[in-house]
Amino acid sequence: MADAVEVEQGCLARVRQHFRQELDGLRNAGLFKEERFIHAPQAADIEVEFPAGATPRQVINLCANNYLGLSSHPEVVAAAHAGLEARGYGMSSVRFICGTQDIHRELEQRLTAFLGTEDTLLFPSCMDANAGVFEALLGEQDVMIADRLVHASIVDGMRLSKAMQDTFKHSDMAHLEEKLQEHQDKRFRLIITDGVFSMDGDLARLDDIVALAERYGAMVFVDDSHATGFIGKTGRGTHEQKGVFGKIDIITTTLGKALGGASGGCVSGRAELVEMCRQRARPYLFSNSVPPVIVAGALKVLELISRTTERRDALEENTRCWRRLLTEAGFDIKAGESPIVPVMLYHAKLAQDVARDLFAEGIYVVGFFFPVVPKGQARIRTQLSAAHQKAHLDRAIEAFVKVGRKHDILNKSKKAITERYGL
Amino acid sequence: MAGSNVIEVTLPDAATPTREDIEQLEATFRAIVDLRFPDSRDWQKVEEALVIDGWTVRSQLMWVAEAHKGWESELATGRTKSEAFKQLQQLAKIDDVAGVP
Ligand SMILES: Cc1ncc(COP(=O)(O)O)c(C=O)c1O
Repeated sequence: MADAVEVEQGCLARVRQHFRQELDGLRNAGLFKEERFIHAPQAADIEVEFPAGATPRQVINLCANNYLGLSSHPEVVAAAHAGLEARGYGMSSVRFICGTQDIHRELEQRLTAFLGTEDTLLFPSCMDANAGVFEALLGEQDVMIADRLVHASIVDGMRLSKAMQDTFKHSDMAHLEEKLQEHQDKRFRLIITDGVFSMDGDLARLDDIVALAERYGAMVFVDDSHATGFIGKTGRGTHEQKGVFGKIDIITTTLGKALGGASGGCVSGRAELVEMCRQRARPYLFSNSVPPVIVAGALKVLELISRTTERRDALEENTRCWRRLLTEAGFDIKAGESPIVPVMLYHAKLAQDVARDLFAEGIYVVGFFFPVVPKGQARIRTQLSAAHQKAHLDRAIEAFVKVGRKHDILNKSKKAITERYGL
Repeated sequence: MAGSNVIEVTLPDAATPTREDIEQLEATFRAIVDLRFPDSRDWQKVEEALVIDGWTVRSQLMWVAEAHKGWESELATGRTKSEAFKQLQQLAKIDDVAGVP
């Protein structure tokens, strides 16, 4: 007995040592992620404790996916309360055993109508939707052709599928066409893309992609997590914006960003494909139902955004204003139309330093650098919300200018920044 | 040097095999030996059991291509070396950058 304990301790000691070294490696490489504790509901103004133990301070949040400002909206919170009363706290079951309520069906029907598809299936998250969909639908006779910048959850989902994996250069239609030609011998071809790419905030060329899909007999998959609710004239998503509403075979999206920001995701699209996911997708079959309180909140969100486009219009206006303010101040930003506005700094340490200084000035943003973005492409990703007022953006730009001056990056080209700081 | 179970083949003086040549010769001989004198026939029992369970079973010789970087690794197979490497390239490409949430 004593021997067994000793052996176990020896094994545990080795495991601990191994992972301590790995963690030190991450720290030394500047890749260690630290949580910041928010002492308030998600909003444009939040109180943040950072580093852990520090007195919480009031900052403007420019890094949430709270695009429509609905995460703490009183009507959504009230609907969630009512849902909690009416349908309880949890389901203690997966959907197909005893985890489906009338409101799950209602939410799926509302999402179907909103997205302009034929059917919808809820998942615990969009990560789960992406993890389950490819394995459920494709086999070894098929090929998945993905944009090289798709979200990590799609990459994981593709890895779980037996279908052949292929990629095309980011938004490069000529390259996609080559791949479609190359794979004419496959049973099914599935083109896979994000609607809005989370790194650069650029939109997929869905009009061209659908045209290619029609020419070469392929299906189209779009993850519209960073678009549903606000991209397009009525906020239906990238397919609305690009004039291909109703032409996307599979859409996945999340309830965890614009649509209230709680959690949950879905697969929406052609009826047979969605039904097959209901039969086969493992995260749907083997993970618990989305809780009633979230379903009730999401139903209210859909009601609010179907009633008026006010919120997505306000977000569009904020985006335009913020892009203009940054450009006029002399920052180098990625051009585009989405509320993801990356401020390019190119150099990893510079991105970290600027984010830290902005936090000190009361602006909460995060620096991204390799390996989460390509080498030499370090940036600060700012994200707008309909909850931002003009005063927020004015305060934020003041802070950006102050910090920009300190680091001497205003009105500087990429070349000038990289000459000074390196890549 | 050669024992009763080792076959030695002398290469011509002019031959200067690369590490890859040697690996391929070894793999080829190993495949021939395994086909002709398998060390056990246990795989047949596995195959039979799977067939009884309703599987259609097939086994074949394939190329394997591997790539390692830090804690990441990719492995691809193909009927030809270029097929394996093409798939390996795709597997590595799609995870080129980790991406952001
Ligand atoms: C494009 C994309 N797909 C999927 C997800 C995952 O969504 P969820 O939080 O619902 O799992 C995210 C979130 O980071 C995302 O950006």
